[in-house]
Amino acid sequence: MAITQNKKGIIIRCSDDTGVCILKDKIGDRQYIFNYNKIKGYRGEYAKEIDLKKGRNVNFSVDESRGTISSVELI
Amino acid sequence: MQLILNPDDVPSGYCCPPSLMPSSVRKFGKLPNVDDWKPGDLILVSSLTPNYVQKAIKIVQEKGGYHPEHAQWHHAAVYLGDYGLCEATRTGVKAGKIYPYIGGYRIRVRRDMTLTDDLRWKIAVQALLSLNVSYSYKSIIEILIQSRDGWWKNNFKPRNTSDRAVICSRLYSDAYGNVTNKTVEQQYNTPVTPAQLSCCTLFQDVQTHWQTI
Repeated sequence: MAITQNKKGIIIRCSDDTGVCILKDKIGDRQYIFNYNKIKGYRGEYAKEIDLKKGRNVNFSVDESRGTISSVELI
Repeated sequence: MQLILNPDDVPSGYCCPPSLMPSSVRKFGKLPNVDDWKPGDLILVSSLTPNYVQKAIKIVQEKGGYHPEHAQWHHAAVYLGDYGLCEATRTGVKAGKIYPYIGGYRIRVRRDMTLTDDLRWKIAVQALLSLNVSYSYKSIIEILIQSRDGWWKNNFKPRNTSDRAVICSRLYSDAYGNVTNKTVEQQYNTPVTPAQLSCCTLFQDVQTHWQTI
């Protein structure tokens, strides 16, 4: 399982109803979808409570073999 | 090539009606053969006699850059099994039967063929978890504004939309993304629309046909 860490991204959309976010890799056009529970330290908060919104910068890690997010850190 | 169920296609075979159904469907005399449909499938519909809103969606999608072949699909829903659908309507996310779309609509079924049945069920459940969430008129207005310039122009700034509202295509894309971690939103900030779901390469069409009631 090859994981690429510390990639820089920006949140494009998040939805409390479904608990998913879309982020865009700042390098290149790749977009990823992830569940809120991928956020480091997440304890079930609503997006507003952790200032999770469009335009928020994040660091994220990707499982390259699956092309999916393994973790996200809000910065 | 799209595999489309047109209302005037000739039926093949017979089916026993599953339960009560509207007289309009009995009069139409045909039901889709859902034996090959699976819960979690994407259902796209296109009205043969679109009303004002349906026409507007088609026009907006064409203006946004989609080929008419894809822009014709103005509504998306999640198949639940047993002729059931979960969809975002103007009165919110509802669960019901496919019957309103029998007779006056083209129907198309799409599926990510790499998924297991277990994951497909999870997609259906994720969609149902949004029951009663209100319809996002704000998203529709955003889509209209953005389509004027064309969605292929990759220069939109992020906009805030309501968290507690959804449109039909996003209901499916979020449920799908939540379960699979795959996103159907292919370009930066391009809104997910039925047309995008129509041409998304993550899905393939499912062959289907009518059966006589």
